[in-house]
Amino acid sequence: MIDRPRTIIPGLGSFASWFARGARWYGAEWYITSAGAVILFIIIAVTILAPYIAPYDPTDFVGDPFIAPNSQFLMGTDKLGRDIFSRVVYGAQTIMMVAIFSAVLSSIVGVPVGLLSGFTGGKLDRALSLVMDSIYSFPGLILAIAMAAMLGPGIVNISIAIAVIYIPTYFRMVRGQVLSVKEELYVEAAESLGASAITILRSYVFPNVIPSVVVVFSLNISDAILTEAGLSFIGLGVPPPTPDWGFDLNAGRPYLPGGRWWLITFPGIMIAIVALGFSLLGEGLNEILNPRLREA
Amino acid sequence: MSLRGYIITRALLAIPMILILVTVVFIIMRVMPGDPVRVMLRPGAPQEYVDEIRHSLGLDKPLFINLRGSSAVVTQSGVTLRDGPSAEEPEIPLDSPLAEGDVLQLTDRRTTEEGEWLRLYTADGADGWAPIEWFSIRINPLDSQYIDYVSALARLDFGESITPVTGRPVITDLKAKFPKTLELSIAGMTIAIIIGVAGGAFSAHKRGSPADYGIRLYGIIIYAIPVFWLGLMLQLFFGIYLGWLPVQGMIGTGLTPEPITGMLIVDSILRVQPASLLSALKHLTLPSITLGLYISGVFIRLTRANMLQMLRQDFVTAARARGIKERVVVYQYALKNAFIPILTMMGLQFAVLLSGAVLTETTFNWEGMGRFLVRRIELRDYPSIQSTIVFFALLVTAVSLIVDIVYARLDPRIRY
Repeated sequence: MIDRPRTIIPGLGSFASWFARGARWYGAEWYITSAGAVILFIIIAVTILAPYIAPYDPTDFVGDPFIAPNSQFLMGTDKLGRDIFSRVVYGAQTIMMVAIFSAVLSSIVGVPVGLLSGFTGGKLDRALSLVMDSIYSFPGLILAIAMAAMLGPGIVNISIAIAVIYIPTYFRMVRGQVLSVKEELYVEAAESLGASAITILRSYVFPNVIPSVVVVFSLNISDAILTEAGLSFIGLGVPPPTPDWGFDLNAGRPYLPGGRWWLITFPGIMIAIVALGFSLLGEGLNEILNPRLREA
Repeated sequence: MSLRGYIITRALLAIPMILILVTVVFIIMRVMPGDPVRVMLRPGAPQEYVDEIRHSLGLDKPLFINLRGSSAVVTQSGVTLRDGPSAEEPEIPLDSPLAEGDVLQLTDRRTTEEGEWLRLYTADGADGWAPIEWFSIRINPLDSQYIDYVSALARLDFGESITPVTGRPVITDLKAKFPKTLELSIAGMTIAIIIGVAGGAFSAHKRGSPADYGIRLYGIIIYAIPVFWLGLMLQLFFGIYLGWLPVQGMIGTGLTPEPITGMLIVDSILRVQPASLLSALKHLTLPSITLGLYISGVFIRLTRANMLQMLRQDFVTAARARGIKERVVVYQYALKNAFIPILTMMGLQFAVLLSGAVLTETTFNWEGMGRFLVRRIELRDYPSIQSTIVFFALLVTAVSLIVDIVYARLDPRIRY
């Protein structure tokens, strides 16, 4: 019999044994989650330490245009002679800000509305579900494009545009969980003991929903990163000269036939790595926190 | 329930969904912060021009319910219009003087120190302000932007472009662009289904093996790769370095067949133009692979989950017990039965497909609806933007309707 790791947060000295036990208990999911967590940790470090990592100012013209990667310019320079490595490092700040801000925004709206809808039921629930399902069925990127085009460029506006399209994801998940928890025996017991609706919601329903919210939050950030990159790729992101991966990709596109691969390679790899990190973390956590779903 | 009964019920259920979606689009385009006219015109445009555009698009009406009054009837002679809501503003010269009983369109009301003034449009298109005492106001609550918008859509009126060609019906463009998006989507979907079903079924078959983990990892990674960047990398490798395939456009110059369906490959076949067909196929290869790879990750996951469920069914156990080879059990018995739910769930991925198509079209200069939308956003052609998005909404609803009906046709249990 293997001991199940008691805590998600390791004691300082016992990290190695904690990790090994987790790996034995959870298997592949443990490694998937860890890989995601490591990527996440690195990217957050890069975001915070950008001024110390980047050798140049991301908006300064520091060299000749179109220098191929070399020891001075690790990822080369762009058409204006800006250092791509510095832009990639600072670009992490832009995309992380938008992704996290939008995910927080959509969970703040989606989770309570989902709780309310699932818990009260009835006409309100049906109306809210219809609206949310309709938005959910709509191609998210296209909805975000419409909103971004109307709201205009800027970090806050883009975040709002992205936040709106992910509200239904939280709503549907939370509502579904509430509906199933409501049927549980312990909720019935609490009800018969005279617990108020607020108490039941707070003490019995909400704690059961949290693990799934964490999972959706992580997957949501991954999606939001891709959506942000997509929006700025088609010119609806943050205004230049702010370093932004999607925008830089699009700016490098015309020089592709000339074989200037470094303009488009590095920002793209970064988008993929960061999106992958959050999605691995979400997938892994899903298996660990919601073991019931394992067999599905 | 009969199939026909099911189809009718399902189609009726699509109506509220369409209404909600077009309302969501309306809210985004008109109610949320961000003025359509501001989006269309650059800063510093003269106020008269702003007003003219606003009026011509009906954007000077109230949003949902018009309680302000929609028209004003002249109740006395000698009525004049002024440039602003004040008797000190200059008079506006009119082609024909206003007489009693003339009906003017009411677009604004403003209360100043001199009393309440109305902004009015004459039948000739002149506009100006006049005091409220000279008119009797007619109120039509339905004369609002929202009602105009919904009733235009009900008549399938998608409005007219402002730029680059003023007055060109948006539906003309959409009709030309839609087949291109459809062509790309079908090709991409085909590739995704091949990869997704094969990969997912194999993954379920070899559950827990390195191959299973490898395929699942591929599914996660491919979904995290931005589709437009995937396209750029394929362009770089196959188009630029190897020089095998064209990287931009839909067909070689001068090879475009006379349109029948608007889909270049179909038209090339129908017109019997082998050179055009070859060129169209070559141009389609990279975009469709890009789009196909992008959705294949989701398809692998769906197929795998469905197959695992199917492999736990009694009939599979029974087949195994009879000693039928595992390969046959998995790929003939289980996969055949899993196919209907798989196809349905894939139909529901249509929205993901469209999002991917918009980005793929932008990457490859593929002149479909997505690229059209992006270009019109650049040109700030507001009516086209709104109509294209509504068109996408209708498309999504139509596809989910078709998927449900096909599913019901294939699997009678659904109808009950």
